[in-house]
Amino acid sequence: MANESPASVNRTINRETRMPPLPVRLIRGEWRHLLRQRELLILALPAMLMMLIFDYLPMIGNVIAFTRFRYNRGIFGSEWVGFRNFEFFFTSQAAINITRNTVLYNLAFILITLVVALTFAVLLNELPRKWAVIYQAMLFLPFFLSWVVVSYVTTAFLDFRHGYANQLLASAGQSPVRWYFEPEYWPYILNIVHLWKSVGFSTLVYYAGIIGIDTTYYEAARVDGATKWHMVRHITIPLLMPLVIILFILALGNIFRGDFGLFFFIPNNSSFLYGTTDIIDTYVYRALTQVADMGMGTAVGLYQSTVGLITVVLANWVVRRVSRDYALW
Amino acid sequence: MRNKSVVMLIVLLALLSLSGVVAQSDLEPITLTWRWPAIDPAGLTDLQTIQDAANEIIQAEINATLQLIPIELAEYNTTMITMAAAGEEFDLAYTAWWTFNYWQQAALGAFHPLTDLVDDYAPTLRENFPDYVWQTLTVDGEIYGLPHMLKAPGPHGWQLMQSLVEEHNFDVNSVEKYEDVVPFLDAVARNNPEFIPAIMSGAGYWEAYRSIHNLEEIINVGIGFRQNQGDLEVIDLYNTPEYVDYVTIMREWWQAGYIWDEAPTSTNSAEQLNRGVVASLTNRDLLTASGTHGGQLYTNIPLGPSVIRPNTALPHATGISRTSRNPERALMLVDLIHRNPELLRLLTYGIEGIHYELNEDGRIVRIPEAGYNITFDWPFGDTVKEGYRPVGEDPAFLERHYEMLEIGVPSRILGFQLDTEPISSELAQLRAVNDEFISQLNTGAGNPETVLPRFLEQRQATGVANIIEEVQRQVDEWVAAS
Amino acid sequence: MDSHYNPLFPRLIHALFISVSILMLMPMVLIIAISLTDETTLLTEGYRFIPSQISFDAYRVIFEVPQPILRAYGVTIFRTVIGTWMSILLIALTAYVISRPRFRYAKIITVLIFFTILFKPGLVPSYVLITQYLHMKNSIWVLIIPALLNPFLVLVMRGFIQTTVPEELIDSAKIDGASEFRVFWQIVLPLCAPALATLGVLTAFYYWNDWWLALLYIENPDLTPIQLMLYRIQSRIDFLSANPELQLELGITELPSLSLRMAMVVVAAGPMMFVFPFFQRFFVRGITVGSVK
Repeated sequence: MANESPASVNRTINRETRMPPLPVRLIRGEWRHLLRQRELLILALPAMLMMLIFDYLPMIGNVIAFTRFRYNRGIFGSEWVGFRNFEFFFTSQAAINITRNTVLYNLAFILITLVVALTFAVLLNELPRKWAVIYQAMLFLPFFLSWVVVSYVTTAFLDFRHGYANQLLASAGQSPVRWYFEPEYWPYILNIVHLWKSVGFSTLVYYAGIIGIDTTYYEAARVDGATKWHMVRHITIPLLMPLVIILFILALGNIFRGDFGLFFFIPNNSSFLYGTTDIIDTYVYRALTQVADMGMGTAVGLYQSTVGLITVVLANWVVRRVSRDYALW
Repeated sequence: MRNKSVVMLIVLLALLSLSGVVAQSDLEPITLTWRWPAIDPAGLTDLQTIQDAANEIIQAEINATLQLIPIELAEYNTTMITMAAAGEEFDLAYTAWWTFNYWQQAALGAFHPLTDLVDDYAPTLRENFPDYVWQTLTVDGEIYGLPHMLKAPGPHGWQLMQSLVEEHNFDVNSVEKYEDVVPFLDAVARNNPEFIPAIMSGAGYWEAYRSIHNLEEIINVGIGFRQNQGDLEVIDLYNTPEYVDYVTIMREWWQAGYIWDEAPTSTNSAEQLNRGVVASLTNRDLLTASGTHGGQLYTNIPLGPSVIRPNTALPHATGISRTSRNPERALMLVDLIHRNPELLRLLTYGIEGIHYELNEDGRIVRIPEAGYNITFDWPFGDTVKEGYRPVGEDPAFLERHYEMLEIGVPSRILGFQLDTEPISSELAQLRAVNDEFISQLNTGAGNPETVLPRFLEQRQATGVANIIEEVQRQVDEWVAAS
Repeated sequence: MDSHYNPLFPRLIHALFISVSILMLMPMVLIIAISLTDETTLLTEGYRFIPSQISFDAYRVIFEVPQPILRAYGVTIFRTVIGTWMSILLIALTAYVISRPRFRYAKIITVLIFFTILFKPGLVPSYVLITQYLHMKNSIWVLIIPALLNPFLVLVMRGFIQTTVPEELIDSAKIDGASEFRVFWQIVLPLCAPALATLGVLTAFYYWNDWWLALLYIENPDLTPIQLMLYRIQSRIDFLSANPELQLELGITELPSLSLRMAMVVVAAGPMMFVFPFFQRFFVRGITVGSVK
């Protein structure tokens, strides 16, 4: 709540002849806040408890990144090895390439999805609700398929012998391409497949945001003779900004974490393509799948989370400079 | 008086010698869980019937109740590692080289140490399995698991589809070297477009090729030694003349169109095999003269030596969890299965007339829809020893099995356990590097002239020399100790 | 105002979305087509949108013993319906709390929530907690409760509330003496109906498709959700294909065919895809019961 008024502070001082020490005062002050906003706090309690139990308590387990984990010694009894579990990743030849791949792909995904989904949502809003719902359901269809199943579909297109892509090329008089051997096509293929599968999700979110906008804004604008484009630019987009920014910041948080299924199954784990398809998650999978080393696996996860956190803090700081209301915190 | 006490003593001794009976009445009733990998566990609808029937036998003998928990094959590894790491209570669990890796998990502390218990509680097992099996089970000087099946070593070699061999009049006796099958591959490639001449996964045929040339692996990143040479020198298997020969041969075959063109990228070579469209493959453990895949008969051409490797010595094992409250009784149960073929048969195949039938040769034929078709015959005990073999198998199998057990040569490092801890970072990196190059080189899809030097260079950069040095150190220590 | 309006415009939009819909639909059609093609035809002709010969064998195999499939549907429907409702309420409530600009602890709770998106709990401690302390192994609730609070959706919902609910409305309700919960229940929820419907779809989607919780915590075959059945068939193939030598070693001779796998995809995803368009409306109506909009 707002700051205490000077009058009430004065009264408190007058009543108490001896000032209690600073920490006590701070606690008391905080306690008053707690009491005053207890209603909201109580409403937040279920979520706080859920987080405490299912997220924060087990999060302590990340300490195994710094230990030589042995089952019989337990998480805290295992030998402490400092940053040894991080070595394998940071000293590897591939670290730079896969980190670059991960970040670049994620940036491309974020930007392309944002632009396309926002456009789709705005356009959907121009159609009667009935149609919008149908198209939305269509856009959402690929979301139901796991990456493994999608990989069958992409194989149907890219298969060297029977694939539709090569049949098309053949009918255009071009020679067929061994798609799974040629790394240079994959940045495009992966972006298309990702957009195809995920655009429905973001469109759904943005569309829900748009139809939540108070219609009086549009009516007022219409009276003023605004064009569609004007209304989109000056009403829809600004009002959607909190949502756009939240989705953007959330996506930035995982910018060092790739979608394993996409990068593992869609290129059929073809080693010819690693130059352009290998990301941190697939690399770690290859390195650790046989040994099931929980310490090293956790270490890489911690690294991804930490750099993600730094990215988000920076992004949030930038957003705050622009507008306090839009910032995540 | 003296006479009486002697009689008493004799009676007492006699009673004690019937220890099974005596022990049983002393044993508290307990429950033992047993987890094992199964295909479609939800389909085992008659599990309870089997469990009840088995418990009649088990309760009478060791006063325990067995609870069977089948877990989906592909999930078994994840599930069991999580359970073990979390210290969840369980008793018996299947463990092997291919899932819930025995040596790895034993070193991580998943299992109860059994060294002091085996002689007392599982004497039958101790007797049934030769010393080399127990040596293979030893991790840091302690036994953490029980063997339950003896496997005969078999050579690597070719399997050629019989009908095509006949069609092209290929003389299988002409194959003395690995690459002598070329005329057959060539004939198939030219005349039978509906068949894949040679199928392989991304790993190619290198394992077979190197085994035939007496190269053995210590750890599966391409670090090994020569089985047939005097000193145990640890070498980089990918940096040998044999590997150069191998990749050159594969490159020729790839370019000639012998090799399945999806081999380096696709993961479904097994599927093709099951469709019966594969003309040839190399395989291991070729004990008999023929085998079947996808309903097709294949002629076996064994080529390499029969080496007893860790995976041969311990094809399957049973671990007792460190969290088990009754490790002794769990041991007794495993022992009981090895003493009681009826119990083994019940657990593995179900009840005769309901879940399986015996055909005219006396072989067991499972009834698929009866609710207890566990697909496998290896989860519980040594069905080979009891002579239960699948229908359609070469009848010479059992004879060959015992023959090969006699003449198989132990690998020179059998019983050696590598401690990967000091080189774990390098190993992880090396695995990732291997994955990048091996599927290109081993299938012939990548040109060895350019790819092989890059591969070796990357291996060097990853510190393969350190790994070799460390492995050599440990091997030398082990040789000196034994 | 109509002078700015080009009558061709809606038609262009329709054309765009129809072609996009076809792109989205095509793979589904292909999957259905594969599921209706028998294995030998697949082998000789490759994948085709219109199979030369239709075969229902794969579906026959799946429904040969219908009880496990039907039970799995039951489990999935239960967790989806119950889980979605509980989850949506919890998400909306939490999002409301952290969207209050004058709530002193809004920022810290937001950060706490956001932190759980970045830093994942360890698998082993989660497992220990759920099995050994909460004793939820082999309980249907383990399929629902751990996933109730989706932090991502809480923050998205906060964005929705900021977009949709005018602050003045809440303030005036407060002045009238409404409690926070009443404001949430009677003002915020109805206003956010479209957003809630969207969250409902996403949550329902999660509960319908998740197999990981069941894989870890369910050993009782009667509590297997349908997606885990699908996942199992697929993972078995992947596992054995990645280790082809295992097949000989373990004595596996039969693998589920591609058409069977695709039929399973259709069986597992089909009902949800069919229900999906209605689901949203059903949700909106459920939430806005009693309110005007």
